[in-house]
Amino acid sequence: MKPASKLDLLQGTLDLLILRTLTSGSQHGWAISERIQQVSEDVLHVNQGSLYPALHRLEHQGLIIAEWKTSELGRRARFYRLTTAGRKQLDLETKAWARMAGAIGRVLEMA
Amino acid sequence: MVWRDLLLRLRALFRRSDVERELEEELNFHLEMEARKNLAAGTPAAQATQSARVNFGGVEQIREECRDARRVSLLENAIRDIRYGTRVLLRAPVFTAIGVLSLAIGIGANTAVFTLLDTILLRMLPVREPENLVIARWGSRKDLPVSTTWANGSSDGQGGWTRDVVSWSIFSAMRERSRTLDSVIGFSPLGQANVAFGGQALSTGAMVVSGNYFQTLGVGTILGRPITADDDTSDGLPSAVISYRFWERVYGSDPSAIGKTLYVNGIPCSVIGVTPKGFFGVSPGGFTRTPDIDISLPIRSRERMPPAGDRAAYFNGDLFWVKVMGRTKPTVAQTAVKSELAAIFAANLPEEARLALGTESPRITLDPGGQGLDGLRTAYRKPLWILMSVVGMTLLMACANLAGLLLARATARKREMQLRLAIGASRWRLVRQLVIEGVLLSTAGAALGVALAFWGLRALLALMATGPAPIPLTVSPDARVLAFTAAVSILTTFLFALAPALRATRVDMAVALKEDSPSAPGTLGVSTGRLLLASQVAVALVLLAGATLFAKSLAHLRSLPLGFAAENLILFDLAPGKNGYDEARANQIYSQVTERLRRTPGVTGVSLVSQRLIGGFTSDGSIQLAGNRAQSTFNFVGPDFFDVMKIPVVLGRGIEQRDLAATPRVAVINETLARKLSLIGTPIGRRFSWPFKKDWDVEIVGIVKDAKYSRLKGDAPATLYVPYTQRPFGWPEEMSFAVRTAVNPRDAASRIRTIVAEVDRMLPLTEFKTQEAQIDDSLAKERLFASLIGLFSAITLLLACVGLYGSVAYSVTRRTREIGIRMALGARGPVVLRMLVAHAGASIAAGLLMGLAATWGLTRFIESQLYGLDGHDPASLLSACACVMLVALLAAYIPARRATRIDPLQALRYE
Repeated sequence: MKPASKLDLLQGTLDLLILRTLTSGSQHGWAISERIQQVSEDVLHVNQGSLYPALHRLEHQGLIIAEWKTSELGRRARFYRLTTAGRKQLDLETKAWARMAGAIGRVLEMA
Repeated sequence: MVWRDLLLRLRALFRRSDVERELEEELNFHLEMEARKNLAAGTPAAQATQSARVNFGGVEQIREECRDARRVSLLENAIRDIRYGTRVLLRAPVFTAIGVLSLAIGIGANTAVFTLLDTILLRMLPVREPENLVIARWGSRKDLPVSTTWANGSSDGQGGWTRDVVSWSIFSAMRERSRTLDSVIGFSPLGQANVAFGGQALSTGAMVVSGNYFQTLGVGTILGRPITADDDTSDGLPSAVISYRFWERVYGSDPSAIGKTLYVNGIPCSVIGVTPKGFFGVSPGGFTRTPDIDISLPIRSRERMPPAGDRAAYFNGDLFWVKVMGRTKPTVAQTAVKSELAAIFAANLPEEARLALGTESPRITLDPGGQGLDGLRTAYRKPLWILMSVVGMTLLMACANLAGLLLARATARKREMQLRLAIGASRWRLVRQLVIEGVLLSTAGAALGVALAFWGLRALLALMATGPAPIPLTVSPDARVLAFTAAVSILTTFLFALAPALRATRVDMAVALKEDSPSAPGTLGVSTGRLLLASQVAVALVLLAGATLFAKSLAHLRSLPLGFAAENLILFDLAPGKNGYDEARANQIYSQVTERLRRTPGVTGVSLVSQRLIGGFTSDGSIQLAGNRAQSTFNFVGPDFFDVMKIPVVLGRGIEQRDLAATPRVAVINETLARKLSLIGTPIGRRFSWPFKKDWDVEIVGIVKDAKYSRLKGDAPATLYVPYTQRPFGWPEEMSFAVRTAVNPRDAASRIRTIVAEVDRMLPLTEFKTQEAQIDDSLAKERLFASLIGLFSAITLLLACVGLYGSVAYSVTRRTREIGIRMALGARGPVVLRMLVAHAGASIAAGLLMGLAATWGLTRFIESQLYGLDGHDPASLLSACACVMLVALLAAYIPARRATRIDPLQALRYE
């Protein structure tokens, strides 16, 4: 029952958002999804469920590492944090994104 | 980060439940947090959880996506397929048992036969550069008057013979003068030698070798030193090199064995070295009658060794006894080697042989020697390849059979396939599922097959261990063989599983959904199935025809006229010479045993002979009669030999009691020799002489009918019979006894043993068997192959029948409703029966036609192994054809008969 005004995520940008969110420290899945919602000021629609396959994929790629820790509420939760490779990847993708956004922006302004 | 990925994957694979639990916990945690948030925002408790779930999306789907993210699905699916496949196979135990068993028989038979083939035909000697070794033999168109011992002759295919022994002087000349060969080695077997050491004695194989033997072969010793050129001397104690096996068995692997003294045939020898494990000389499998070569002595020690009457003949005389091998130079052509050796050979021939040769130049043949002497290989090459083809066909049949069964099952499982395809399974996934079922079958088949192969090999070797050419090799499946088995089973899997899998999954959805009713005759794979059935019948016919031909050839060999009576005849050997007895004592034993046996009730005649008949061995040489010189076989016999053997005397007399060492020398010839000497008419009283014996005239006193000598095949050779007491080269150290009994020879056996024991307790009685058993043994190879091929053809026929039975039974089940309708409409049982059998009959007929054509084409490959009939023997082909047809029709009839008992009412209700 989401308001229709929210934007669906562009293909492949979820990974970028996750990596960016994790730069501020290790987080569990729910916190990541909350954070993305908050920071994007509820504009981006992150399907909460789809977060988890993405997390597992990133873990397999070695960009993030998962470990079980106690959450703020005293419950066991799976926390993810960036690896060095993850930071590098984030750096690369951020630049790529910026280049693309810039290029698209310029094309739109020209028209 | 590949390792991290791998680690996670492995964890996901092997700690699956842990990983699943963690995923569960992680997702639950998220849902709880979300619900908590909703609560805090004021959502009623009942809706908080609900709303969290809605926000999250399909939990099950997310979970599956997470599993996908772990990317272990390929392996996981394979494991699931294997589990599922195992369940599917176990649900059809009869099908699975037939499949596994037929594959096991096929794979096992192939493994066993390949092991034998590999050992006998393919394996190289464990020596340096075995591919450069050659075996030298010689031949000439004319029959050269030479005396040989331990010779093997082989036909050169053009009516001539090649021999594998030369005289000492020829060998020495070759060794010294050959420039085209790197080196030339000579050797000769000593036979089973009596070996005594430290108060014990045993009998094992020994040979003599030239001083350059070990060096040329590039074989060292693991202990001590090998025989070298310095050992080529007749001075001092001969040096003995022993095999690893002998060292283990006799000396318990004690290094102090070096320097110990061994008595080989009574001659003291000093142990100087131990050869590496697995080296048994240049003749793997030993020599004829000497399977295990454990002791090698310098070649010069030959002159001291009994049992050679005229020992001087070895080194000073003209006796041909040295076998020759050489190491080739890579740069020299074989023709150059041959002409050089031929020249050396001709130049060093004994005088008389050179005269006989005249202007003809002798032929030298060079055969690859890297696998060692090839007596065994020559004898078994053809039969083994035939057997390999036969078991190969059996395996193909097992595959065809299984493919047919799988095809039928695939048709039956069409609905399952359709369902799975309809709900989105990929075709590849289904093919993989079916192939995995095939892999399961063939893996089980291969495992059982290897076990069968071990057992079968033992049985094969036991069968081969009888007869004149036993196979003494240590044969056991090794890594090479197991690799072969693995390759075979992988290949078979693709043969039988892939095609049905592809067919079964090629389902046109539209058509499939329309025609899906259990009673509709499925079109899937029917023609392929019939083709498979036909080819099974064809292969069964080919094999059965082959088996019939072999059986008939064997029967023919058995029925050949022998020229003597084999019934109620017992043979045994006594070797007083090997006990160290002297001539007087040996002769006393021979005559005492003969005398005592003759007086035994139930015995009608006793005689002695130096070479038992159909024993595989002859003595031969040349004799000189006036201007005539003739090559002949000879045999030294006791009094009454012709009476006992029932060989009719045509003219004059046989050998009698009065022919003693001191009485005039006499001989009896057979008709062939008489013809050869142009003596028809006036042979009696003529005198001949032995070329190697001066002043030793022998008078011919009789002619006997021809009788087979050493073997069943071929005509009886020209034969000369001489009293054993008048042997021109020393007294006989061992003799065979022939005892004719009035009763069943088995009954006399124990009495004979008692009598021999009473004459001399220390004298073992060896090779005790009836003449008929002796003949059977001489056919061991033929019998073995006839029965093996018979066995495999029976298995193949059985497999074809299982296929036919299954196919007809299946079509009866499938067409139950159709048959019910036909019967309800008035079709009688026999009509329905005919309909069903005719269906199978078409496959059978097609198979028989294919099989006949194939048999016609293939039997020429076995013709050389057949005796007395050719490969197109119409009676054999027809009887095989009739047999296959009857059995196949029966296999189709039995399940078809069930159809006639179908109750129309039930059939129509059946759904």
